[in-house]
Amino acid sequence: MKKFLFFALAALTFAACETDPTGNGKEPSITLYDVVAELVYPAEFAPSEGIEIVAKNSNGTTTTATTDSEGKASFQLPEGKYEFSASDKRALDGYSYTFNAMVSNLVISESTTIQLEMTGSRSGQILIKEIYAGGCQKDDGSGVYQFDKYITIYNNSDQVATLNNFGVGMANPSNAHASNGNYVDGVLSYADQGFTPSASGIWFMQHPITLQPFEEKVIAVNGAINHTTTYTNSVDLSNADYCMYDPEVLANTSYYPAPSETIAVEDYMKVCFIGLGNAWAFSAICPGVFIFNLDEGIDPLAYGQAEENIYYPAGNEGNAVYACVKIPNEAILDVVDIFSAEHLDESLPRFSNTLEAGYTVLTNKLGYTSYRNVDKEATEAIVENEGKLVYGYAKGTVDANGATSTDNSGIDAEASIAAGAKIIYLDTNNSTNDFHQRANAALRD
Amino acid sequence: MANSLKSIICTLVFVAVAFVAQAQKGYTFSGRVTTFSDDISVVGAAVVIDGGALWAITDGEGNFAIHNIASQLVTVEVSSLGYVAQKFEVDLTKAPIPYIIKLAESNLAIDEVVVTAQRRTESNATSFVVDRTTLDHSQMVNVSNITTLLPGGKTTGDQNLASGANRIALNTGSGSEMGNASFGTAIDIDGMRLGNNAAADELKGVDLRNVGVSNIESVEIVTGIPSVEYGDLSNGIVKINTRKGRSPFIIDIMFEPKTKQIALSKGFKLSKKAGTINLNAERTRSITNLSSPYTAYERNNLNINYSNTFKDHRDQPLHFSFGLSGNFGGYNSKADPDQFKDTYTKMRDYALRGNIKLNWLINRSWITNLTLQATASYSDRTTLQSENKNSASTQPFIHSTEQGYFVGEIYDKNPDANIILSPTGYWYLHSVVDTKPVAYSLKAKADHRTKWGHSFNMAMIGAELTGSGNLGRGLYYEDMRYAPTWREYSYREQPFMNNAALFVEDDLKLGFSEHSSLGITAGVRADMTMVKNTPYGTVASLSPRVSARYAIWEDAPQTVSSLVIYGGWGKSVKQPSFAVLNPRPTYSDSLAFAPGTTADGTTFYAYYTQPTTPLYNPDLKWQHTNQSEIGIEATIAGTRISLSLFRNRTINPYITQTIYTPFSYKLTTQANLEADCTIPSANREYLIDQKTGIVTVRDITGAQQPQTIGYKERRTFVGQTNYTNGSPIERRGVNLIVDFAEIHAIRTRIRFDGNYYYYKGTNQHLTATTLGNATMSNGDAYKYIGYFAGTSSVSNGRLSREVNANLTIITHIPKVRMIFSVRLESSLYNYSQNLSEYADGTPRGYRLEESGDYIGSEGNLYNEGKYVAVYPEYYSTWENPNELIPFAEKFLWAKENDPQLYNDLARLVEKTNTNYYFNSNRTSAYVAANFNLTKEIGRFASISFYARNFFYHMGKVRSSQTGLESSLFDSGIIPKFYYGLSLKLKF
Repeated sequence: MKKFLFFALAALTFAACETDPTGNGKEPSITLYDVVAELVYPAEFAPSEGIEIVAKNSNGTTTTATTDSEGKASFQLPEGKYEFSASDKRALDGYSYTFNAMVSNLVISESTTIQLEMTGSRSGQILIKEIYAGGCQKDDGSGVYQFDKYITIYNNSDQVATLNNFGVGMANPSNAHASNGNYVDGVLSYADQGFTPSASGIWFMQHPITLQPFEEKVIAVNGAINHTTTYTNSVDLSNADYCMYDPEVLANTSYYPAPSETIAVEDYMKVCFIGLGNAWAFSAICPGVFIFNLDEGIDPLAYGQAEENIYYPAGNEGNAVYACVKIPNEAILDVVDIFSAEHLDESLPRFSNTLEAGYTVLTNKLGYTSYRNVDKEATEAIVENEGKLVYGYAKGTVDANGATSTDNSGIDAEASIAAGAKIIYLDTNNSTNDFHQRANAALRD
Repeated sequence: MANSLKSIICTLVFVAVAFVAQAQKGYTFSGRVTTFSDDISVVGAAVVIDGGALWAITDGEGNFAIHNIASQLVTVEVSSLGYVAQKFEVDLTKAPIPYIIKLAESNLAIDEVVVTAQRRTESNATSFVVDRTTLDHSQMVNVSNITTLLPGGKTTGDQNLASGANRIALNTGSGSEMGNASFGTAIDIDGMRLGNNAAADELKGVDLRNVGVSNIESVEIVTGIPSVEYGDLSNGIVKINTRKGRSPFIIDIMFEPKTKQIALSKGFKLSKKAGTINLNAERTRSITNLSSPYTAYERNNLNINYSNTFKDHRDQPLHFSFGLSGNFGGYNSKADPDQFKDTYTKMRDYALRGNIKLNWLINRSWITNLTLQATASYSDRTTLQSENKNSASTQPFIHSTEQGYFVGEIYDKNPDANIILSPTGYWYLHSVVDTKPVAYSLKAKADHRTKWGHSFNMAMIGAELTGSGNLGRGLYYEDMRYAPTWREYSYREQPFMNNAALFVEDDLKLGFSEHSSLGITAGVRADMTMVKNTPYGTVASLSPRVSARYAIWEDAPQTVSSLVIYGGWGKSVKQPSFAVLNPRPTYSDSLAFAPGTTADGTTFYAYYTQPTTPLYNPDLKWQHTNQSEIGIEATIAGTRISLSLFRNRTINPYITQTIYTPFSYKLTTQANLEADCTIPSANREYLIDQKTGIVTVRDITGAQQPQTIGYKERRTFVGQTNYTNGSPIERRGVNLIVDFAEIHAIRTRIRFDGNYYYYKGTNQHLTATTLGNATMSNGDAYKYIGYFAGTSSVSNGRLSREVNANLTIITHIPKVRMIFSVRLESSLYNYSQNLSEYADGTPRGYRLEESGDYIGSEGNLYNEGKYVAVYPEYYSTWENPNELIPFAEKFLWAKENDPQLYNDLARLVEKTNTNYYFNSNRTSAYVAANFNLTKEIGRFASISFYARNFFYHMGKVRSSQTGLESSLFDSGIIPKFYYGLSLKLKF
C-alpha cells in the first residue's frame, strides 16, 4: 500500500550521573549514566506504552527498556558509542502503519535525554481478499447463475482495524472491455485528478466496522441467502457478514432477495444510487472493485448525490446510465481491476497506476473466483504459523487463453487458516502479481 | 348512426331497382376477346368504356356486349389476368360486329415490358403502380418492400420474414420520426382494409408478413391526395389487387439463403355460367440463422377468388366477386436445438379474410354504377412462450387489484392469494399473449357518369361502416402457481371502435380538345367514430379533398408530346387504435415489508398496491394530416418526366404521456421487526392489515401474544400512461422520375429516379417525469416532478433532409425473352439535426462551458460545439403536485441558498452526452449496386436471379457530427450482399 515517510531530525542531549565508587578501591569504577529515550510520533499518533527501545553499544552489548505511557524509556548506560532503535505498529482507518526510529553513533558520556523520531510507513491493512463475481452453472443446465456475487475484505495485519465510513465502489465502465469514455487521447482522464469514479453510486456501511487482526468479512453483493439450495455450484451467503441491501431504493427482489434472517439489520449496507434501473449492476464478467473509507463525518448519501461529486465519462455527459460518484483516492483502501479472459486485448485499466499497476484475469460462468496470493515470506515469518501452514496449493486454474493462474507461494491460504494459521497476503498494488484465478469460491472450501 | 347509414344504403338500392325498368337508347358495342396468338377466347376480361362509365365482363366464350352507349366515339380499355391491357378508341358507327379484340400474352417476348414502378399518369394524385412482371423481376417476397421501388427508394437485402414485423410507411424518411407514419399508412387488399387499429400493444402499421406476394397481380401506391372513398389514414394508401379470373397453372419456386418459397396458382372457369375461380397457395419459410435453420417464420397462404358476371333483365352486367384468404403459420423456435429444452417462443400468425363485392352497372340517367362490398377479417396473433425459471428464494408474484397491503402466501395454502410466493428451485413458465384482432366493413357506393364531347363527369356518393376490436384475452398464464406479477387485462372486454362514414365526390374532366383537358376532383368525407362506454363517445371528423389535373396537351404528335400539371389539397384523418383508446389500469406495488429469508429460502414479502382506474383522455383529438401537392409531367421525345412536390402536415399526432399522482404507504423494515419482535423467527406468522399496513407477528406456538411492528412512512408517486396529442409534424418532398426513351440499338432504357425529403418534428406538449426509485440526499424517496416542454430529454425533436438518387439501366431483349436491370442506389445528401427548441424556434436549453456545469448561458444551441443542459419548465412537489414552480428561477436561487434543493433539482436537468450532440450531422454520399435478371425459357418457364450490393461495397462514410468515418460493410446503411433465385413454370 501507499507508503508515507515521515522525516525528522533527531535532537540529542546528554545527561549523566556519576556512580559512586564501590568504596573498597579494588576495582575500577564503571560510571553509569541515566539516559531517557523518548519516542516522538507524528501528531495523529499518541505515544504508546510498552514499546521496546534497544540501545546497542559499539562493543556489541545491547540494553533494552520499554516505554511508559508517555513513550519514554529509561536506561542506565556506561559511557560509549550507541545505536538506539525502536519499532512500533499501529492501525488507523484501515491502514497499517509501521514506525521505526534509529539513531547511530551516539556517544553517551553523561546523563541525558534523547528523542527518537518515529518514522512511519503506511500499508494496506484492509484488503480485498476475494471477489466472486462470475457466477456458476445451474444444476439443470439452463445456463449461468450470477446473483450470488460476494466480496471478502481482510485485515492483512496483526492490528485491529476500525473503519468509520466504509464503502464499496465499482469502476466505470462495468466491464473493462466496454466502450470507455474515460480515455481521452489514450490517457485515463481522471488518473491525475485525485479521484476514482464509482459507477452508478456507492454502497456504504451504516456504522463503523472493526476487523480483528487477520479477520475477514464477507460482503454479499446480491442475495445474502443460501444459494446452494437451488444452485449446488453456488455459495451459501446466508452467513455473510455484511450485505448490500437497500430495498427502499433498489427493490429488485431477484437481485436483492431479503437477506437471511441471521444477518443483523445493522449489517445491511445502504446505497447511494444515482444510476438507472432497480439494481446496482455489478459486473458478472470483469468488475473493477474498490473499497474505501470516507472521512468521518461525511454523509455518504449526501456526498454521492451532491452535484459537484458526480462524474460522467466523456461522451455520456448528463446520461444517468453512466453517472458515477467521485471517490477521493486518499480514501481508497484497495482496488482490484479484473479483466475478462475473453476480452483481454480489448480491456483497458480503470484505475490510476498509483492505485493499481496491473489486473487479474477472470473466466466467468464457471464458479471461478479472483483470489489474492499469499505473501509467503511474511506469512512464514510469523512464528505462530509454524506447523500450521498447508502447502501444495492446487486450486489454480487454466484460463481461456491457456495461461496458468495460481498462487506461486504454494500455500493453501484457506486450508492454512482453517488450521489456525495467520495469513499475510501479497499487496504490491499490482493485481497481476497479487491475484490469481481460483477454481472455486473460498466459501465453498 | 349505423341505422341511418343502413337507411341510406337501402334507399340507394331501392331507387336503383325501381328505375331499372326504364330503358335507354344508344349505341351497342359488342364483340369477342381472344388471345393474340391462337384466337382462344379470353374469359373474364374486363371491357371498360370511358374510364368505367360502362363496362362488361366477357363470358365463357369470350363474348361481351355493352348497350345504351350515349356517345359515338368511345375509349375502350380491355384487360385480363396474364395479358397485356389494351386501350384504344372506337367509333361505334364504324365498329365491326362482332368487334374482335386480341390480347397479347404478357411475357418478355413483347416489346413493352415494365420492371419499375410506374407513375399513374391519368390520376390527379401522385400514385404509382407496380405490376406482376415487376414483382417477379424483383423477386419480392415481402410486400413491405414495395416502397423500395418508389423514387429514391432503397433496396433491402435479406427479405427474411423471421427477423421481425414488416410494415409499410409512406411519405416518410429513413430516420426515426414522430407522427406514426406506418400507423397512418393504409393497406387495402381487394378493397379490404388491413388495419392495425385492434392492436393492443403497439401504434404501428399492420405486420404484412402474412400477405403472400405470389398472389398479387398489381399494387397501387397513392402517396398523394387519395379519393375520399378512402378514410382512416394519414400517410397515403397502398392498394393491393390479387389475382382473379382465369390463369394458367403456375408453379413459382424461390430460393434465398434464408428464405424458401413455393407457390401454386391456377385460375379456371367452373362452367359456362358458373364463373371463374382462382386458387393460390403459397408456402414461405424464413429462418433466422443459416447455421441453425430451426427458428423460423412460416407463411402458408391460401387464397380463393371467385367471380362471376350475371345479367339483369336489361342485359346489364352485375359482377359478383368473392374472395377468401387465409394464412396459417407464424414464428416458432420450438424446434431449435440451440434453445434450452422445452423453452420456446411461438407466435401464431393466423389470418382469415373474406370479402364480397357486387358491381352493378345500372346505367340509368341518374345512376351508372352501384357497388356494394362487405369485408371481414379475423386474425390470431397469439404468442405462446415457455421460459425456464429458477430462484434460490421465494419471489413475490403480485396479483392484487385492490388498494391495500398484502402479504405473500404459499400457493398450496391459498391459490387465490393476492401475492403468491414463487417456488424455489426450477420450473417452467408458460405464458400466453392472446390477441385476436377482428375488423369488418360494409360499403355502398353509387356513381353517376356522363360524357359529352371530350368532357366527362363522375359523381360519387357512398357510405361506409367499419369496426374493429380485439377478441383476445391478453396476457395470461397457464398455471397461476408460476404466474409472475401480473394483472389480467382482457382485450375482449374493451369496446369496439365503430366508424360510420359518408362521402361524396365529383370528378369532372373538361376536354378542351382531343389533347387538352382539365380535370377536377373534389370531395368530402364525414366520419363519425363511436366508442361505447368511454368518455370519447362519438367523435366527428370531416375530410375535404380536392385535386386538379390540367393536361396542356397530351399524346400530341410533337416533340413534347405531353405536358400535364396537377395538384391538390386534402385532409385525411387517422382514427386511433385500440391501444390509444383504451388506457390500461396501472398498479403501483411498493415493498411494504420484507422479513429476512428463512433457511429454506422463504421470504414473506408484503406489498402495498396502489391501483388506478384507466385514465381516459376525453380531450384526445384524432390525428390527421393536411396534404398538399403539385406535380408536372411531360413526355419529350419519348422521355417521360414526372416531378411532384408535396407538403404534409400531421396535426395532433398520437403520443403517450404519463401523469403522476402522489401517494404514501407504510414501510416496515427489518430494523422495525428486530426492534419490536421477540418471537423466534421459526414461530412467526406475519400478518399485515390490508387497510392500515400495520404488521403484526403472531406466535404460532401461542407462547407469546401477537406483537405489532413499527413502520416508517414513504411518499412516492404512481404513474399512469395514456395517449394525448403531440405537436404538428412537417414533411415535405420532391419526387422525380425520368424514364429516358429506349436506346433501340441496344434495347436499353435508362431510368433516373430520386427524391428530396424534409422532415421536422418537435414536441411541445408539457411532459411530466420523475426519477422513479431514486432517493433524495436526505434518504427520502424522490419527491419532485419535472415538466418538460416536449420529451424529458435534451432533444425534443429532429430535423432531417435527404436526397436520394437511383439510376436503373434496363436491357430487354424480346427475341431471347430476357430482361436485365442494374440499379445504382445512391444517397447524395443525408442531413439530420437534433433539435431542442420551443414552437417559435427559440432555444430550449442552455450552453455549458464545461461538461460538468449545470448553469449555462442562453443562445444558439446548434453547431456551437457546446454541452447543453435542458431544464424542465416547471417542477412540482409531492406535497403540492398541482403547483407548478418555474424551474430555472428556483434552481438558480437554490444554488446560492439551498444546496440540498439544488442537488435534488439538478437530477431533473437533462444534459447532452457530448459537446457535438447538437452539431448537424451530414453523412457523406454513398452508393450501392444491385442487379436483377429474368429469362424466360419458352412460354412455360422463366428464371430470375438477383444480387444485392454485388460490389460488396467496403467503403466508408463520414459523419460530420462526430468527424468519424464508419464502414458501410455490415452497417445497415446499404444492404448486405445477398442473392436469390426463382423459377416459374406455367402450364
